[in-house]
Amino acid sequence: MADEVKKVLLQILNKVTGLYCIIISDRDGVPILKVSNDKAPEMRPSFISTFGLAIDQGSKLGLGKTKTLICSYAHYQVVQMNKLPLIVSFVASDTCNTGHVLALEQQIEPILNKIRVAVAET
Amino acid sequence: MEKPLERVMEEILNTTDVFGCVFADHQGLCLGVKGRASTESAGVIGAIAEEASKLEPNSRPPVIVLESENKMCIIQRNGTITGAIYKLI
Amino acid sequence: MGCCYSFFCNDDGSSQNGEPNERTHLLVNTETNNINIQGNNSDDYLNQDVNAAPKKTDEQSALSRILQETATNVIDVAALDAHNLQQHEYLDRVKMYNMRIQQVLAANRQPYKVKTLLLQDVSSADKILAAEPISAEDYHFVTSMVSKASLAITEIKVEHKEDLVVPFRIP
Repeated sequence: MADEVKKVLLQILNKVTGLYCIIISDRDGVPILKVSNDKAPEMRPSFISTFGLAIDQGSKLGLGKTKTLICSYAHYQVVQMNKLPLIVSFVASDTCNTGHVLALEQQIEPILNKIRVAVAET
Repeated sequence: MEKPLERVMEEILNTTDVFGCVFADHQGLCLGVKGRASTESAGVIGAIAEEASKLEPNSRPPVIVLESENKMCIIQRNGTITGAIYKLI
Repeated sequence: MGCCYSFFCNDDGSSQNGEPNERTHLLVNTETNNINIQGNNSDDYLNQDVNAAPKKTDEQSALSRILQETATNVIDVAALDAHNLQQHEYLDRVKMYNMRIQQVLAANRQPYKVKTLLLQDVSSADKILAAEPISAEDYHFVTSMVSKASLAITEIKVEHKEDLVVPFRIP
């Protein structure tokens, strides 16, 4: 059954050119589900967990709760979404269509609703 | 700053049957939106234009029309930006 | 930010030595005010208050509360890399989640499908497919408008209005 969900995630991954990796993790960056293709870079767990801390700081800017964080690097871009207790991270090439990745939010939401239960029980 | 773009979008919306327009940059991020269109659609519109232009990489970017029963969405890329206009048929 | 902290520390010292100045007074005031507010929502604080010697701890806890409040309001970039999971804890959790996911997903077995909306809102697809793709008028309208917009967008510039980086006037 988890394979089926992974398959759906992989379909989503393949729809966006330049998207390398989708990671659904908990607040501390521990991966729950992960799909990637061969171009995905190795991610340190602390990279994702930093997001959890960064959104706490970001919400102090007076603009409300932090929803998404887009980091642009020389070779990659990382889009992370605040779906606490889950964090969704997308790793893509620097030229990838950022707006398209952001639009995946709607498609990924039903999957998250199911997974959220698994984390909430902790 | 963005006044000229606002004026162009105003002009587009003043055309008969047009009810919305949206413009996206090369990263699929919304540059401007007016009427009944959403900023979230900017990414997908950019992606559609990108994929469609791959069909004929050597010719000019195509005009793409998405049609439903009573509405249509016309998409075109120009340089780095992509525009979409929503229109009643 | 560092300056904020050192300010409070200095203050701490001076009030403990019993040298009254304008700052000590200010702190006593905030303290009494804060007890009323904080007492309601913090159990920890209530317990502390009951057990400890009244005056001095009050002052100290008031100070630590101010510190805490400041810490929650300040955007602390340095704290971002403070927290890290232990390796074994990390692996344990990965295992646990793997199990949980299997359980949860097995429990609700309805197969997940990506919704296909293709032709959903079209009752007579054949008619639309047989129609002219686009009228010349529409074509010219779109091309001219998009190129106009493209031109307009090249004119978008950031207008400098006020400085982004502002030096704090600390005497």
